[in-house]
Amino acid sequence: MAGPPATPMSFSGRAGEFFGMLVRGTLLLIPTFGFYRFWLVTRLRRHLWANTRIGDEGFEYLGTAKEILIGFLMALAILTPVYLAYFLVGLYLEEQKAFASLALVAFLWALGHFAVYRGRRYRVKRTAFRGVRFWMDGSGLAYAGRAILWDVFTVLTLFIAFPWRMAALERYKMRHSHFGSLDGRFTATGMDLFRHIWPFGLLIVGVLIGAGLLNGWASSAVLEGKVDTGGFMVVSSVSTALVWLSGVACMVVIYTRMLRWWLSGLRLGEVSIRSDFRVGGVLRPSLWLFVGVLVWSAIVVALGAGIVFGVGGSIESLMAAPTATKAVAVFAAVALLYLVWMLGFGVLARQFLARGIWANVVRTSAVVNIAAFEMAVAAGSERGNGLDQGFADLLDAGGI
Amino acid sequence: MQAGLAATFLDGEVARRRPVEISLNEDAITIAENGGTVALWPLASVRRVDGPDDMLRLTESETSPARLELSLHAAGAEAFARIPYLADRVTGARAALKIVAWSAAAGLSLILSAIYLVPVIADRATALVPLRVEQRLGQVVDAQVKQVFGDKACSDPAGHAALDALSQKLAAAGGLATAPEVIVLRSPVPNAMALPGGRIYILNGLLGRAQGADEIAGVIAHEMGHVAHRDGLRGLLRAGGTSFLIGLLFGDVTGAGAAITVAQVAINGVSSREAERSADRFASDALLALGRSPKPMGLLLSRLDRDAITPAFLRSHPVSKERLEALGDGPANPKGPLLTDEQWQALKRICDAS
Repeated sequence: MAGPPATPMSFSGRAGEFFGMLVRGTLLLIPTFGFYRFWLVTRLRRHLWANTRIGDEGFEYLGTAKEILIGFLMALAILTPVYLAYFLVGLYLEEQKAFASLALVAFLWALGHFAVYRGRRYRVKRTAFRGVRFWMDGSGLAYAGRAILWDVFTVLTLFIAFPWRMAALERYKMRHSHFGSLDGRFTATGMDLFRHIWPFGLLIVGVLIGAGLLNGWASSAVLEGKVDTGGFMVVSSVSTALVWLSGVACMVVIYTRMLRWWLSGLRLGEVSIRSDFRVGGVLRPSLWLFVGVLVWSAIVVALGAGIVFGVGGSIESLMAAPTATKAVAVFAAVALLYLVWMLGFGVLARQFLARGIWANVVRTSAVVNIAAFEMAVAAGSERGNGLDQGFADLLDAGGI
Repeated sequence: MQAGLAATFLDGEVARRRPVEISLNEDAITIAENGGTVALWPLASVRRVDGPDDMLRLTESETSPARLELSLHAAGAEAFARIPYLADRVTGARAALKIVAWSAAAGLSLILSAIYLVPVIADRATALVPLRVEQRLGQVVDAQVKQVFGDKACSDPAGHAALDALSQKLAAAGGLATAPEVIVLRSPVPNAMALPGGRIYILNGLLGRAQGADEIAGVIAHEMGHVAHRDGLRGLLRAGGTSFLIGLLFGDVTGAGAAITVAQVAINGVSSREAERSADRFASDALLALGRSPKPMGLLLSRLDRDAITPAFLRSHPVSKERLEALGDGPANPKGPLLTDEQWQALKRICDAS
């Protein structure tokens, strides 16, 4: 199965180094009221980009924290009156309650898609390879419009249209992506994706229906007295657990296949990617995350118990004579512990999921026909500031 | 003059790697390709940028796309490794300290604005909001109140008549052109509230704990004070402004939701105490004008206070001991009771109808 020459990709970033940056940055979030997140995200991206290599050449991230901080402030200035207007309109429409909430949700949904497109545009525009920059044009609004129409169609077809939705949106994004003078496109089709994931989609539906039927049979059996409530609880918990497990398993497989499909469809000029990504690449980091969260939660709970009982004495004394100061202290301690837990969870999620899956995807990919990159001549406007990222940050549109 | 070191040159215009030899002078890096010099990078502007783990990457200047890449393990690479990083690629201790200092300043500024500036702005804004808008807001709050306390209004005719009589007297004494609508809700909670727009809810639990018409009259007059001062609207504007500023501060830092709630409750607890004191004064004045004493209202509140469990500084209603003293003494010329015995009994039983 020898195809055109492929240059394997690799990831050279050390996990320990990433973890150190992550912990240091997360700790600095506390005294900076969260403002440090711009520096943290920039630092992490620089590490990830530079250590993502085609052969032994690495990418480069050109974004700066100052840029996205200013972008955040600009987006804030634009969105504040929008949110205010939306609140006032919501008040006015409160009488027609149903329509008010619908308009709200639709607006936020559109805004979300817009932010996702602009966020991607920023990250693409700040990426360079061999000194030449990637860039994106196209319109966030046009993308949001398309995405909403596809979302509605997908829901109407009970998610069967989902693969075609992914293909259409990716085609739009890649049509407007470029590397220097090389233009992007997306060649994988919705049918390809459908063929890869339909069994697992069907499995989820089947398990859901099965669990529903089982629960239905069990509850009617209880009502008729054939089975006691204990038996019903067993059936109910077992079926719920089965649904969850199979749901998660199917999602993992679907996600893996979708990633592989997506990579296989990317084109920049005549350059493409071959992916060997397997389920283990998602499963292993997820298991690490699961274990990490258990351990971290245990630590936080132990810490919390120590503080609460240190301050308040035993549970009995706390319940017997609750004083104002004790109540406040306990309340404050719980709030603080919650914050600490969330920060720790953020670190674990970024270390295992964000970095872990990124590294696994990169290590199982190879670039085909990299010689075609040499045709790329620097092009593309320098426009596009941190405002793109500012929107995404403000609306929490995720991404790494 | 150093011997040439093997490196890769990327001119930033075409995505092609060019193997070159570089050497470091006192003031420049010489880049030679196939024996001939292709570029001279003045050291004053050359900076280091991010490279893969084992590779050194240099840029010609802050704005140039051109790059030089060489292996960190190569002999002679140490000299190049000493070149400083691009200014905004450094986040050492000093840079971090600067960020902490500026963030602390920004955070402090937002918090101080929330505590001192927002109440002032809310005051000014309250005067500007037209009554119709306030009533609409009131309808929104009304829906939420009904969700929490139920929407069963008590409507026994005799009780309702007594309530109306009382409200009219109090409104007139307080100087209000129209008496605000007073409704009793069927709920065991002993509380009363004034919504933006003028509707007043008395919860049945409060009626149950009251031992005389003067006690309830005081509470109704207190709530009318809130209506007269548009405290509901002001409180909403304050809470909105405060939570907006504090939400601004934390952006998307997860887990801040808890902190925000605590801050809000504490801040709003403090500022609405003034509103409560003004409403108390309104009630005192109205009762005295009717020739009745404000003290019974204080007694009712003391009774309720004995059962409360939230610490004093978190409660929006001030501590009752100080409040009792502020309410003042009885009138110089006391007049007859506000409700007859019959009316009072009917009022107590307003929620007894089917």
